[in-house]
Amino acid sequence: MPLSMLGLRNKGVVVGLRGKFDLKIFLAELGFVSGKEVEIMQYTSGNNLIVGLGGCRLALDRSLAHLIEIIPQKEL
Amino acid sequence: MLTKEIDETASNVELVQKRIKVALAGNPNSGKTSIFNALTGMRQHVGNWAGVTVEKKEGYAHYGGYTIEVVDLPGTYSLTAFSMEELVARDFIIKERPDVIINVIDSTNLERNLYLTTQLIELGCKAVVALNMTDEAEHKGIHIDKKKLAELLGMPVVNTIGTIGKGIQDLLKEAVAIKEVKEPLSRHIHINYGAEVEEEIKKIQAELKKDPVIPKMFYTRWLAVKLLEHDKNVAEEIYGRAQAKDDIEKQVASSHAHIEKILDDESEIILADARYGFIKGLLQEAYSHRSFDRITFSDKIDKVLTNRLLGIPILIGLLWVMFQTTFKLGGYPTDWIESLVGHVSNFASSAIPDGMLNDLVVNGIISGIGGVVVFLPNILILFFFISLFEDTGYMARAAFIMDRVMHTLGLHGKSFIPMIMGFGCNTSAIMGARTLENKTDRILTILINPLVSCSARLPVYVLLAGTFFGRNAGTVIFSIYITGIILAILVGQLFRKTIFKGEAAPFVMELPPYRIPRVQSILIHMWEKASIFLRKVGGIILIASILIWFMTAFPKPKSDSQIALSHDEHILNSYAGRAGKFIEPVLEPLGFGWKGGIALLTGIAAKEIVVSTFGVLYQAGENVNEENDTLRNALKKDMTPMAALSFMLFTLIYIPCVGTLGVMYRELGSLKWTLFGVGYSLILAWLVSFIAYQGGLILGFV
Repeated sequence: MPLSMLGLRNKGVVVGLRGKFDLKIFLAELGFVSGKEVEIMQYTSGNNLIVGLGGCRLALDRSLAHLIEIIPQKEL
Repeated sequence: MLTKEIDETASNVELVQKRIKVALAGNPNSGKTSIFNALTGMRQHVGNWAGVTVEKKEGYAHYGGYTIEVVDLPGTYSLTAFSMEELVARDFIIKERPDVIINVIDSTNLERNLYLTTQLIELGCKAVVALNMTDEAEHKGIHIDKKKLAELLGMPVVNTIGTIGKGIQDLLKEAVAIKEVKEPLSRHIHINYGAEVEEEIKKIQAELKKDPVIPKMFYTRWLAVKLLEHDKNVAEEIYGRAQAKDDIEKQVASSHAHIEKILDDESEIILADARYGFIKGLLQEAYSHRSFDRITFSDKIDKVLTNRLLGIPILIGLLWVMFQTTFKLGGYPTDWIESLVGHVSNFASSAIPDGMLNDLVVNGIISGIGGVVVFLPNILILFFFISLFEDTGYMARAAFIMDRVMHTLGLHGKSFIPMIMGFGCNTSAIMGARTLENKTDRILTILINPLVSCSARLPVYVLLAGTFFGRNAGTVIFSIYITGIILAILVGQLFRKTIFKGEAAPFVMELPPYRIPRVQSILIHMWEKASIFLRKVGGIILIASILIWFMTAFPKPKSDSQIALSHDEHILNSYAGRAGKFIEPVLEPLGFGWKGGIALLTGIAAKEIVVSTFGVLYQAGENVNEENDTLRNALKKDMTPMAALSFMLFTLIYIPCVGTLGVMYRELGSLKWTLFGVGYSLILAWLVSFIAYQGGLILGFV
């Protein structure tokens, strides 16, 4: 499921990226690569989100979070 | 650092050989600029958000008889060249070929920072890794095995703390040592992309090596990887030069097809995955951390400051506090400076014998400069707040909180940072627009930025609002600022719907941990802004004041004229008066006459000069021994409150100052768009002032 649907304080593992080519590389280079663990730290105004990724915090807009395909950790 | 004396007897040849060019590369907010400052003894502004350094900066360091030219590059996550900053950094590394690259790494965020390192490895650069902010990493319980890391990366690794200058000498030592080694690297590391990809890389390399020139100019493995990544710039460069262009192109195409068929993903993504895989393996061997709280202190602050409901109200509240403090607190020292200027003026007018010189000094120079210099306290306080926002890490949050709002307005969250910086000065704000990855977002942000009222326009508002609106002056000034922001939003939306159709790019930004700002850093920032301001006063504003005085004093009325001309009639007859009269018909419907016209014309040089011009126009010929309020009284006789309001609005909107125009031209890279910026601002200024003045008259205000 997309990262944008993961609940607050929940964790998931990245399994793939969708969407336009440039955006995909951009996200991959930032560290959204298969097997990486992500955590939703905060939902902000307009449902944008702050995610924890390998010890750092990234502010992400919702449209990008839709493109990141994850598996929730509970299901692993 | 002390400069080691270069041996006097050393020949020029030796001097040339003893120069090394070093570039600082690293992720945004990894502390490159603090390392740069520690290396060179310079004082570049260091902030706590990604994108403080937007241009490369140069300085010099000295070590063991070497003169080391240090270049601070803008922060980049990779060398893929998405944003302007990445392009600047990459072009420098590839084209200028620094002797050594110092790769600055944020130790608290090793994994992501090493991504850039993997690309430097691929480039075959001579590099030293600076593990920066080791104190913070230690505090977090992170342990990095420096020796192991160096071995695995094939580069020396040095621990540093840029802010206090720790590890700087070691860094210089390693840089010099690496330069002296004759072979490219003591141990050259290859990142393994997996059997399938490696095979294709070899095939492309083989084609490249057949070319007579290419292998001598570039590192073929890197080229092969870049071609696999569909890198446009590299492809252009290679296909432009290579004799065996067709063979290479054919091989690259077939490799793409093969990889994407077998691994079922774009080759770029596969390569990025593999680099992170390499990093993962590296971390397993050289990195460990004590289990730490998943929720950091910064997360707790963010719970409140970026809260879904509270975020925006808190942001507005903080901005309100910023403006209130700037005006209220700044008012006290402003009064002291004002009375000081009054004393100087009185002293000068009594000390210098009556005549031309007296007139020039008192009515030209002192009233011109004095009117502007009184605003120094306000400007200092404003920049204190802007530094505070930058250094704590709140600026990145502010941009993010506003992203959704900005998006509905057709702008990008990151456009918000230049807007806040614009309250200080539009020139630095417009440069700050470089953090926007998307070109149309950037042009749009630059075009509307001058509508954000900078500190140079503040003197005009304080003078006019203080004169005409008495106790409501603060509210009037605040409304002018708000008007500017609303106009910026409306104009932005209009342009987005008509000229720059399409959506703003999506938002991604790293949120740095909150840091307590260093007093020193804030003071340096304030001092720099103050010195820029004072230099402006001593430079362009001084010259402008003298010129304005000259233009109002000449030509002298004929001595044989029967009746002595009044002061106004005299100015009207002067060069300035004639220019003002010429544009008066256009300004008449806005409520102010030729004197306002002259002030607006001169204000194009720098907006503070509007006040200087009023000083010269209204004070000349008056009794200078009167109270300091002469200017205000003279203004009251000449303008109505509605006209003053209309004038302030015009000042807010019309043509940015020459300095801002210069930066706009450079950043937009287009004369057409710069002129467009001038044109729309003039039309908008006239329309808004017209509506305000005529509307006010209809509603019965005067």
